[in-house]
Amino acid sequence: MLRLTIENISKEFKDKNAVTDFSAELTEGVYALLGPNGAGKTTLMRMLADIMKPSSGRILLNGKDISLMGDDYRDILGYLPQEFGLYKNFTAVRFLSYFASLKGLDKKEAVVRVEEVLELVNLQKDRKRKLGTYSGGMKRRLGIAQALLNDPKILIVDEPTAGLDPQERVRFRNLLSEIAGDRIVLLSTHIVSDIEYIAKEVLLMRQGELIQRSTIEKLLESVKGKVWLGRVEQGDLSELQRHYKVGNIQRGETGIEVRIVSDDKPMTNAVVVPPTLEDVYLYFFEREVEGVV
Amino acid sequence: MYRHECYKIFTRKSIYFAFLLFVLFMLLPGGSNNIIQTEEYQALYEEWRGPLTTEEIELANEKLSEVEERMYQEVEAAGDFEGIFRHSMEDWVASRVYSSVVWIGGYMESFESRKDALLEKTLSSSGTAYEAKVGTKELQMIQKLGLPFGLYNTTAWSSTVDFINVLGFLILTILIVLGLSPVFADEHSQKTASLIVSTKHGKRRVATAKILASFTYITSLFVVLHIINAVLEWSKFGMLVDGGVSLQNLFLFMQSPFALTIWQYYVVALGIQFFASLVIGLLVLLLSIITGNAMLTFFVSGAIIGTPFLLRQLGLEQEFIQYIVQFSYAELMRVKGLFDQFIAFNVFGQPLLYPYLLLSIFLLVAVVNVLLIFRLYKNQQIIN
Repeated sequence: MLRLTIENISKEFKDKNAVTDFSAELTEGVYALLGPNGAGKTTLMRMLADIMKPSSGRILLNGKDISLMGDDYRDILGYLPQEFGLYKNFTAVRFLSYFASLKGLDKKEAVVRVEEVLELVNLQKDRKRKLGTYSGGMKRRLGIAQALLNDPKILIVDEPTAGLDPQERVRFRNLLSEIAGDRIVLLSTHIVSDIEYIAKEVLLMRQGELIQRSTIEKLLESVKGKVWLGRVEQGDLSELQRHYKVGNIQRGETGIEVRIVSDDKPMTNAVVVPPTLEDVYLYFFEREVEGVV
Repeated sequence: MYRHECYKIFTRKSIYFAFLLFVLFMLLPGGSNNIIQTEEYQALYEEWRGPLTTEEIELANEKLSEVEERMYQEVEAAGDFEGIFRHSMEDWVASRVYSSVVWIGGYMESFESRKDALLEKTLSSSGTAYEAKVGTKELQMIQKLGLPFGLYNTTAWSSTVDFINVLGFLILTILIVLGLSPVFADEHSQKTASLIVSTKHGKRRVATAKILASFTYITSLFVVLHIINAVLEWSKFGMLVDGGVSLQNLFLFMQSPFALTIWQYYVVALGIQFFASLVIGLLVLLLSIITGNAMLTFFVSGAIIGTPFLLRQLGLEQEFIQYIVQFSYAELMRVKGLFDQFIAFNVFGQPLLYPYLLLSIFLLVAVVNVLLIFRLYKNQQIIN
């Protein structure tokens, strides 16, 4: 059994603390990292990917410090950063062959594996095309392919579905779900529907700290009775938005239907509705952003 | 991995463009010498070729005076002092050969005077113990040379050897800096660093692969450039003859105390320039990691290599500037300065010859550079 222990890690930069005293233990399954921009998700993932050192604390894999494991740790790691580049004059096959060698795959193994991951991300037809001609979505898919090349036991993917069309997103989501059985998958995303059906647990981060860690069911439970649906007139909408966190706004013939996340009933005609993960996100993160208390 | 790193370097169009420009520059006409390829010259040269005696030098002096007198009278008779007067080829050739012999006689005289002065210096007890050691060392080296001068056709060799010192140095340096500045830096600008560093071999083996690929680039560049130069020199001046004579027969190395033949020096110089190319390559790679920016690496490398060269060209005399110049990448790369005169440095009371000291220092620099490359690369943090 794999056990990735994040032990009180912090990361300080000159002018800010990106991650503060973060602790968590992860075992096999998909973990979703949720938080607003600047919450420290990317920094945390970089430390887990061993490309950035924590200012304090440590990360252990089955009790061993990953900074001491070095190559052995990265041997079982797959990482897809939020932003990454490709070599414009490389073809997909050359690019993946290069990363196969970086990941320590032998030549024969690499040839087979490159074709497998190209198929997984649906890029076989474009395998010989120069990467300079690839679209944003294709580049993203190639990034996913390189992360999967070494069949990693720990997969860290930062905003993996950004730029993918809905079909590819579903495809990738299912792929993660399929492979997550015997490995640790940690993904961060702003698209909450990506994790709604596959995440074993959700880790909520705010200002570098872990503020909540729970299963999706429990998170939904925690905002139960705090999600409201009501109708307002156009003239009242801006006043409502000033005082409450408003989610979906749907205009219809009979007025405007609004979805509100609030501890209190926001208006007389509001009725409680079952929460979604998006409501959870709004509940935990958007209150301070909007200055609503 | 090595193959892919080579691919990254060798598929940059800028290096081919720059290389082509330099080769075109090398192809520019100039420097050929028609006289030495004539039958008249070859005949007279063969007559005088080889070590020279005092009598031969005196005879050449007399013959030169006659030829010059005859040429002057021809011009006077024609009344054309300003235009180009067409003397006979025989006279041109004779003037060339005899004046060469006379010049060589001059070198021989100053060589003997130098030997006498050194002998006197070592026998006198006026200087310090170290100065005495220096004098003895230089004298021993010069005595080992015997009488190195003679009349030899070294034009082709002279030009080939000078290529190392001037154009070869410039072209190689520019192309190395241009080709290797992006090796580590571009991984950051292209945002591929985070992908690479998170892989199993992304912190150590990839650095080895990048260094080896860079060395492959330097080797290819070096070999191709010197082959092109040798072919061009050969086509300009004919075969590289008289390579087996003493180095001192090349004008630039008249004062050299080293007992080397011309071809031996050429091989040594190529070896040192190749070593210097690798050392410069390592400097560029290190800066490429430190700056994380190819353009900045290009300019900083250029400044580190070019500034001492510029100081030398400015002819500044201060002692510390002399040291900066002498112990610079540029001097190592140019090679000539290591062998063209006797220079020794006091190392623990013993005179150590400049080339040995410079090579030892840069060997150490190279080793430290490699260690730093691995250390910095391994410990780098990907922030953006």
